[in-house]
Amino acid sequence: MTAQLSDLLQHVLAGEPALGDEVDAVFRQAELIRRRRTRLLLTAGAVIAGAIILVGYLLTTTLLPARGATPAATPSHSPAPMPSAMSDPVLRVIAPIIDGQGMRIVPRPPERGLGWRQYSVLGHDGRLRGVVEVAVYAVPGRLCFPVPGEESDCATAERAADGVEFVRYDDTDDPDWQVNETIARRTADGRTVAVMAAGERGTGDAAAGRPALTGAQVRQIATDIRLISAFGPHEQCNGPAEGACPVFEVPVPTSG
Amino acid sequence: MPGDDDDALREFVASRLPHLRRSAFLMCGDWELATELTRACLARVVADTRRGVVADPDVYAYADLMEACRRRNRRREHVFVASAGAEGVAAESILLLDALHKLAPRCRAVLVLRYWDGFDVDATGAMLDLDDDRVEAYEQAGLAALEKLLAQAEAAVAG
Repeated sequence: MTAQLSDLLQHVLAGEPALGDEVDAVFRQAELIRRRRTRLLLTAGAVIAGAIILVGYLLTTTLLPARGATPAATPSHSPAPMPSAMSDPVLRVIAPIIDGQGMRIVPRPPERGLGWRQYSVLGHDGRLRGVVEVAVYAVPGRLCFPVPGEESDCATAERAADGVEFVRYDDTDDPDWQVNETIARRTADGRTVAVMAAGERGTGDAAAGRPALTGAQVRQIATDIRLISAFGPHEQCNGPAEGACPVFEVPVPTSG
Repeated sequence: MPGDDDDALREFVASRLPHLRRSAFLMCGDWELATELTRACLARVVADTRRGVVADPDVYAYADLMEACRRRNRRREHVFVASAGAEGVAAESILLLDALHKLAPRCRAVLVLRYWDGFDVDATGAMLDLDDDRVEAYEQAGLAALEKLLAQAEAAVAG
């Protein structure tokens, strides 16, 4: 059987059609295959490039914050837009008065510590109009409101609403160092605040160096019962934190 | 193949085309289909040889052709075999083709490559992706089945 099979197969092929131009047809088809493969390669490259761009775009838009979005924990020393930032309870008391004059108030680095806050005031032209400093103290006993230049005397305190006593210390004689300060004390628990508005120093001009807040406005802020409550119950500038607190024109005598 | 330039490729195609087409005919039983499959197979050989991915064009061509025939037969319910009255085709040849196409495609491919194309067991195995034992097993089974089919057919014709 095996020996005959080759011969048998030979006979089967009788009637084979002519080849014609099959060789040329093979090369034409090979050229078509090459073109199709090139097209596929280019298409695949374009698809891959498109996919990479799409993935990059999606990752970028997903992972990076949107332009203009404000992070929840934006540092407060960044220039604050009008109206002045209201997330700070102390600032909530001061800002309306500043904003009402067409100015704005922003935290001033180092902006805060245990028992104190510090702010810069910017005029409508964006120029600095001085600082506002606020500090809170615990003075449970009797407070001797100081008299500048008279260390042994105590000033007579005025009474405001809500059981608050206060003394104003305004010093605008020196055009290069004009200060409006008020010390106010809540008599019920001895919590005391000092609020000082100081104008820009070294301007050589009385008007330019004027504090952003008048003496009356500083008093209004200092005697606002919300101001003391704006600090935490354990915040105080006397004690261990005293060294970090701002220096006031008239310091609060906390040692007795 | 000496060199991969177009002249060498053209020479290769011209020399292998008739034999490949006959092998394809034995596999599929249709000259038109055999011509189409052979053309497509050699076009792939040319395209891939130009890309430099063909190690042995003969093995590549026969392997590709046998696979193409196998796929094509799988898609067809009936394989056309020359009719008994076809001009120039002896009844004996028709019986043989008919018997060949009743074999399993693997068996048929082994018999065509071994007894028509004259490849040894190793080369046949390489072309069909089979080890030598499988090639020999298919060969024995194919020959036995073919002999039986031919005997039955001859008996039917005689009776």
